[in-house]
Amino acid sequence: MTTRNARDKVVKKDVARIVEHARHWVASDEGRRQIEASHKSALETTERLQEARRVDPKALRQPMVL
Amino acid sequence: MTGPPYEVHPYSIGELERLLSEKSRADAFAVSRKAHRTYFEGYFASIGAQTIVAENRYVDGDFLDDFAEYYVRCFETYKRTCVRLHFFAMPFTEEEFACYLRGTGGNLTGDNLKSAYLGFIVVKPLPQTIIGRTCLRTYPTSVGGRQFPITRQYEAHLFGLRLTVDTLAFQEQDRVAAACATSALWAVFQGTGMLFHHPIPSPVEITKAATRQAPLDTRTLPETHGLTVEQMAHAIRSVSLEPYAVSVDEEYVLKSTLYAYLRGRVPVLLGIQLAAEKDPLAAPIGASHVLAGGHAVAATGYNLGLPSAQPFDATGFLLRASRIDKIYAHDDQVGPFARMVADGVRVLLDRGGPSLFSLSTSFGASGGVETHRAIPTVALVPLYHKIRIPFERVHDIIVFFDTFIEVLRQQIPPVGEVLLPSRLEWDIYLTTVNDFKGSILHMPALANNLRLEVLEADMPRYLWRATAYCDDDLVLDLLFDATDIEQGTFFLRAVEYHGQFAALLRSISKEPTLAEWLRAGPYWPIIAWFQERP
Repeated sequence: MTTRNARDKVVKKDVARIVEHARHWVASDEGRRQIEASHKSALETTERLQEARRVDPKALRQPMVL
Repeated sequence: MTGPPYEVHPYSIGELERLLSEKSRADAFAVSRKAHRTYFEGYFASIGAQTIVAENRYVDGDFLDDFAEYYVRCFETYKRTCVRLHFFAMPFTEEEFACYLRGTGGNLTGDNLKSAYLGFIVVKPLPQTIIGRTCLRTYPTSVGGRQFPITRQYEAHLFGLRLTVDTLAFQEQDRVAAACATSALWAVFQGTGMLFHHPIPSPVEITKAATRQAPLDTRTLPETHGLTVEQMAHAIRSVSLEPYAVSVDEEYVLKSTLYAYLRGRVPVLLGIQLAAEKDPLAAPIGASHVLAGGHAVAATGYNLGLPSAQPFDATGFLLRASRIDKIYAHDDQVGPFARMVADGVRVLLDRGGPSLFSLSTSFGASGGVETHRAIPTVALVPLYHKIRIPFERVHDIIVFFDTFIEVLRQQIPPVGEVLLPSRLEWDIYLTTVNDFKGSILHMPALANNLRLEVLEADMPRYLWRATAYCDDDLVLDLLFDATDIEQGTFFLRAVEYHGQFAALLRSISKEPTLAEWLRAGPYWPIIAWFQERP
């Protein structure tokens, strides 16, 4: 049985309960705290990436000689 | 006119070497020492060459431009015509080919010649740099493995027989009208010319365009001092495209950027520093390699050879591009679709200095032994001017959105256990509305009403597509308008493949407190889209 088939079988009876639970969780203080922590981690990663992608102007003027 | 119009020879590397020397002005020793000879030996073995047809009088448009600009004005007499060598994956003799042309029977037919056609090499009548326009069938591709997304169809007419090959043209720099960067630009323009509908300049035209705004310190022709990235950018502007530069000395940035544009059929210029293996007498103490100089190649393909995506940074973000283990590039010093492997070897240029990410390269290889490493520095992407949103903007939004989904998956057990048993893997790339809708049209499992809704939706010509997978099952597509401005809300819409997960997103997006504090965040337009769904 594939993952999707197994998932579908379970979800049919449980999905409404899961969705309701998730909705309450994201509105809770704990949910907000966890989501904000994840944003902080994503921000650190993307800021570091932005710096890594920045081209050094000196590199633009080095000839490709080989 | 002297000599026969064609000759047929059984393929062997020795025969090819002999023909390359005989049909150019290069002596046999010079040909035997060329890196291309070694490269072609392996390449033709892998694509199964068996017969060579030499078309002895061939007028090549690119060489004719170079000839008119430079060679015709030399005191020494150079021929204006080239020889084109055609390769076939079937054995036949000159007599059989003559029978086919005469129409007097025999086993050879137009159909079997067409199906066995592997492409051609134009041999230029020069003393050293003899490999002209070269169009050879690619290595076999595989779904989820080796991919060459930017190939196009080239036609070759051989005495009335229309032959075709899907590839991207390559040629060696001639060090007179072109430097390595010129050859890389020429290869890239072969792809962008078809994609964005611009004229494809010859090597000498590219060199002139590159140096018109930012002249070289010395004379332009002969071209012996190489081009800078800045000059390459000028050449890109000369064909009405916009150059987009990204520093790619970090492995993740290189893989993610190359993949995003190559998959969108946009070839990418890659600037590299070549580092030679340490010479104990010349290298600084403690260094593993010595810098040899800058080089430019045209990235043309990739291999998704790693079994799974590599978690990135502290977020653990999974990007499909991180599965890349090999990059293929037109390297004028090596050959077409030359393999560069991300094998984990790092290069140390100074004691105490940083160890640098590097790729293997056949540049300067001798007897099959590689002697140089390629340290990627800059990627230069030639883009149609309306493609305004860069890959990195979309990538970074998805990183934020993914961490949000991952928190739900980790912190709400039923979400992780039932809806998304594994972390999402994201496939982010540039595409067109036609390619996107084509893929939707051929997706058999898609609900009919959703298929119709997506196919009928108005969309811009260029899109960024971020597809989320869970254990290889499609979960979600997020589409962004690549032609919008960065200050705009360039998120277009989602396509929901996983009904239960979509229901979850639709429900939590309507939670007022969540909406209140996510509104200023980078992925709010995605949440807002789900909020508007019933």
